[in-house]
Amino acid sequence: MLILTDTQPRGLGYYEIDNRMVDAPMPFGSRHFEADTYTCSHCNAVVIMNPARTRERYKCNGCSHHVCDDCAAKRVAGAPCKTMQQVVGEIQDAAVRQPDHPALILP
Amino acid sequence: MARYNAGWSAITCTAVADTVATAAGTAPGSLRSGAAAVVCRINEVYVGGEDTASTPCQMILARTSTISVGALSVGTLAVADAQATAPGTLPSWGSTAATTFPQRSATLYLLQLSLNTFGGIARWQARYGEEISLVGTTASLGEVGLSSKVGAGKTSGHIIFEVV
Repeated sequence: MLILTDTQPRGLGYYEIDNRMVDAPMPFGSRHFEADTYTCSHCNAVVIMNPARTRERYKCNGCSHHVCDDCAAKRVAGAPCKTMQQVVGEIQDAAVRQPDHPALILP
Repeated sequence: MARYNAGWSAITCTAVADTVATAAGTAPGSLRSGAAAVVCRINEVYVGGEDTASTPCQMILARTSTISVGALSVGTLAVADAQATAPGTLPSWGSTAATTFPQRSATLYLLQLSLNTFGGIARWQARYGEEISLVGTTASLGEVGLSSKVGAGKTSGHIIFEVV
């Protein structure tokens, strides 16, 4: 899934940390943090998009989806594209093929 | 199929290191797929702080390197859509495992929800189609757990997921 951008990213996940009601001293900075997120299609980790990041985000050519930096590094190093959806599908297929009575001895 | 709300109420977390088993009632809970072919997709996590003093707390949603064994309890599991057809096998949710408690993977972190539990909140909603999935009955894809790595905050909250 592509990250759509025109002037602003849109259609992304949403992440919020709201400490505005905390009646205690806290480190300097905003007490309310909001950010867009996307989920890495390879490992399912949620990537919280740093608004200050200027470095390009890696988009996998295999699945046409942005992936996290860890998976991007693996991909650049030559790892194949394998999405979590594929992994889930394989586990489901294996479960369906599993016989109900694995200990049954057939003639 | 059916969307569910897995909730917890007023749980005071104990800071637990990676690959260390949680103990009864010391983490919001873990969500286990429950059957080999059952897939769950998490699309929202909410943590609300309820402490009476400043308590920074590093809550982490991560896959488990050791999956829980036995019934999970101390947690609520409610179907969100009253008209939904219940799946044949429901996933398990709770902070107390009957036999073996889960252990957070040291590498498979999925989401960090750090907050000050003296009134702070943390929330994540997935983009449609980008939910966190879990499947099967074995580690590490069969279960995710929400627990504190640093800080002993008191929280309530929920995880909304769909069984597909």
